[in-house]
Amino acid sequence: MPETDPVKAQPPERVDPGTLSDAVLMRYVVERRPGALAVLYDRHSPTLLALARRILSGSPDAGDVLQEVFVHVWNHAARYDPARSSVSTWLVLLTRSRAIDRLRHGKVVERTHEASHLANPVDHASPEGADAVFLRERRERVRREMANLPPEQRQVIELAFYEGLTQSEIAARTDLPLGTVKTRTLLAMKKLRSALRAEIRQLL
Amino acid sequence: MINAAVEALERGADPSAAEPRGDETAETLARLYIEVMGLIPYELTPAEPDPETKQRLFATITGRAAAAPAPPPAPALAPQAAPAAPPPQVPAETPAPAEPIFVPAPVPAPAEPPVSGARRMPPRPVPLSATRRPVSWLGALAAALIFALLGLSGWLYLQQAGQRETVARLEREAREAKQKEAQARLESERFKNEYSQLRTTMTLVTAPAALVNPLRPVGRLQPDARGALFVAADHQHWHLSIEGLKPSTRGKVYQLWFMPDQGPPVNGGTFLAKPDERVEMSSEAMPAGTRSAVITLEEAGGARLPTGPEVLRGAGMIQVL
Repeated sequence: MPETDPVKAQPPERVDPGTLSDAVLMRYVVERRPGALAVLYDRHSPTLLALARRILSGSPDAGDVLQEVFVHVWNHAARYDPARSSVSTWLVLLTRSRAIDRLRHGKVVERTHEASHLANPVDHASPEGADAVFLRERRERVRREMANLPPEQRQVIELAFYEGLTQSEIAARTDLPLGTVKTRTLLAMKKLRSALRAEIRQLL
Repeated sequence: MINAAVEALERGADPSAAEPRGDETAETLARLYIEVMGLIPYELTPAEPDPETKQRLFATITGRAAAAPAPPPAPALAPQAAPAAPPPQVPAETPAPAEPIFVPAPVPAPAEPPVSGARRMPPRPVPLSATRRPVSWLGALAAALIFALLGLSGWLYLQQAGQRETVARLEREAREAKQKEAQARLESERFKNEYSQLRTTMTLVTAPAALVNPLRPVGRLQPDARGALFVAADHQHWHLSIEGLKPSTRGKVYQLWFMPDQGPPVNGGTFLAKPDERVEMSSEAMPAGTRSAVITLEEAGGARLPTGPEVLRGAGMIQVL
């Protein structure tokens, strides 16, 4: 007589998926559970859309990028490696790379550097709850630490992150020696990591 | 290496494709960049996505029409049959057939990621003893204690062996020191005796009434030999000093003879000569009436009377001072 799996033998329970961690939700996504993807979408899409809009200078293509990212997550969830990064970071980097791809392929109007500093015009209505509080605190902390960066370090970070420029391209753009760009980038990254250590731990 | 890893991400590469390069520094810095980059967008004001975007997304992944309602933010968690799979709306990303909602009961443990892929680390093999954890714990503890005791015993044995070697070495050095001390004492005694003899000889030789009997070679036997017999004023103490004698051959000895006024020669003793060494002999007794001395070469053991060839002969007593 085959042995009964005690876990599978349990009757299905109704739980609030909003309470599940990103990592657990990703496992359900691997098992092709759309509800899990819906929770991830609701949780991260405001940040990811803001990122896509920032990179694409507010272009409507940002919505397409967001959809593209989550379709990729749905089809390639197994590629996510929790040992490398958090789900949140994985989603951010997917969004960034796809938005920069669109930017480079000329699918949007080229923006100016000044335009990139415009605030996102659409505010997100945050959901209530402890997660929302943590998220708001995280945003405030990141904003504060980014604002605390010396302008020259912040500049290289923005050019690298939001415009997808390589360090050589940043050097050419800013008329700085490549070594200076590398040093400023590294200093900024180390400073941010040191200041945002708690936030990084939360993500992991 | 650092920038290569980072630029790979900046070029828009899939972050999961940022393979470690075996360089710890590059890997560490790449991780630093990934961690920080994951936070940077949180500085932006969040943007509420268009509800249609979500509808289109879930229509795509579930294969429904775009007009179909998207799953709610917190969907009811109950199993549902997999729907049919009409053509997806995103051509590049073809979704696989899926269940529309998920069942939370078989939630896998958070520490064991269920995602399997080409880049995932292989699962660790589970030892057979994993189901008997307490027993294996005790066994491991006992084994650790045994190993610790064995190690301690070995260490103590080595320490003891080292101490034994040290004690033996110290004892050996003490014995050697004692031997050297005894040797030094002997040397000291010998030097004292020599000094005493030299002093006696010097006293004898330099005494105002001392007599000297020069010894000269006889014939051509040993033409380089020279010597002198010093006789104290009491005519008892004497000292013989000879140089240039050929080394004694095997079975032969030199012999000193005192030549009195009357009667036969008196044996003064035998001696050997060594290369480049002066012969020195002394005594406190000498026959009365001695006027001269003779050195002959005799058979080993000496002779009662001179039998061998004369090597040196005294030329008569001379009062030096």
